[in-house]
Amino acid sequence: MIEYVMVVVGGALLLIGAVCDLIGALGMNRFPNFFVRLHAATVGVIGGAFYPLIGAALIAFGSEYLGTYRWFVGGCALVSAFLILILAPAGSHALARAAHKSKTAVVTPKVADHLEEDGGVK
Amino acid sequence: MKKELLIAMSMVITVVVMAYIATLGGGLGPLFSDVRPLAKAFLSTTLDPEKPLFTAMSPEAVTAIVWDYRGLDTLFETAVFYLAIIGAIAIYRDVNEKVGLKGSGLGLSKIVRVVTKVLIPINIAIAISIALHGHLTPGGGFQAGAAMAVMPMLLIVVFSRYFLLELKLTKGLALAFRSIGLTGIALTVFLPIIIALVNGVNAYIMQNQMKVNAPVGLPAFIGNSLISGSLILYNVFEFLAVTFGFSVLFLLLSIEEDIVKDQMRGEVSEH
Amino acid sequence: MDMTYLLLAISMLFALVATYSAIVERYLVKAVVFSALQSIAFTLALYLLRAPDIVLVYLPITVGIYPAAILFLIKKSEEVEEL
Repeated sequence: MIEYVMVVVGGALLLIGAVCDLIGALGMNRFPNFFVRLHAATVGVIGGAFYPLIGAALIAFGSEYLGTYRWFVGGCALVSAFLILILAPAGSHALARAAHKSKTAVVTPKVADHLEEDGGVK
Repeated sequence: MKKELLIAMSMVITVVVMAYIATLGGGLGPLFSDVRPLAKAFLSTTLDPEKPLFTAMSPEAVTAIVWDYRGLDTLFETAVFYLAIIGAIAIYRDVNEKVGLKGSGLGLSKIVRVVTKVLIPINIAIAISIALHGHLTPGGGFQAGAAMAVMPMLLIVVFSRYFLLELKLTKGLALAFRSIGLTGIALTVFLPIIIALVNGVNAYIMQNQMKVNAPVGLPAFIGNSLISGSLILYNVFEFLAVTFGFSVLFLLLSIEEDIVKDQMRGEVSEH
Repeated sequence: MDMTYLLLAISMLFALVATYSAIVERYLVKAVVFSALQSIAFTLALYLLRAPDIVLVYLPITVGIYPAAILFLIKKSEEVEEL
């Protein structure tokens, strides 16, 4: 029973990942400037790579016919998910910071830019 | 526009011709269909204690071929790689990397630094595991060294190159470790000959297990764990040499261009 | 088996497009990124051809070390290729 629930939840996570990937791709094509497009890319990475990997791990744990190997498959997926979870935000943060610091990208839909008000990136 | 069309057309023609030669032209034959006799010979002897004159005592046939059956090829490939690095060192011979030393407060923001600190132990563990399991699983010395060499590059980009100098990873230290690795490879090449001279028998260069007329073989086991004689030694020393060879390259390449030019001009004006 | 051939064809086509983009691109930083993409496609192809040794050496060299070295060189010389 618990295996069945795990497989269903994993499939749902895979579906969420596919939807997030689609949204991220649409955003990358349609959004007007660098910072908003970076947001779309991060949606594509976190939603489109982290959730599906967790889902793949759950499906692997729930598939009893794989025998002992399901723990290897699921463990690999979980480790990859953790690495993506910590690496992708750091990467997009570094990109955004560099773009803001070098003033190559204009912050156009701007409500408040606290980084600029504080005197820019030091 | 015409030039771009020419490039695209030539690439397409190259790919089609290569694909034709590889498949229909009978060059490589179909993929995965059967194992050819040469591969069968290697696969059947690579870990077979009952054929002591032919085996390399390693379950990983690629590493066995690279460092045992075709060892001299790999030795000269490694020599080409180190000649390239020696060229870079020769160009930068007059440049002192400690000039213009600044504090370690440079580099990217705190978030990226913390993530990099999490990543570094993982990187080191993976690289060492690839090196030490090189004779058992896919991988080996060069692979492990390349994986490890990503780390100094990451440190230079994230923490700035002055951080590496504060860690005492200077050009001299990296060169010393690279030399230890190369000396280790050279010693392992001549190790069977030294043992054979002591015992008064014959031996070959880069010999691993015993051969005809050369009864000296390096031990394939320590306790119960398989170490495949010389293969683990080659992998570990190649790992050291490649890691620190790339580290020297990045330490030299990351010096700012005006500092390099200033020092080189100073050298010219003195003469 | 057929899936392997299909993935192989897709990855090599992607590598072809990336190579073409890297050759005709005049901004050298972008060309390096295209070249790294081509290497990723090659890595997938080598993995499908069951050469894990080559994959292990291809991944760090072509995604980490080679773009870094080329970017250092671009920083030291010029960013736009003169025609």
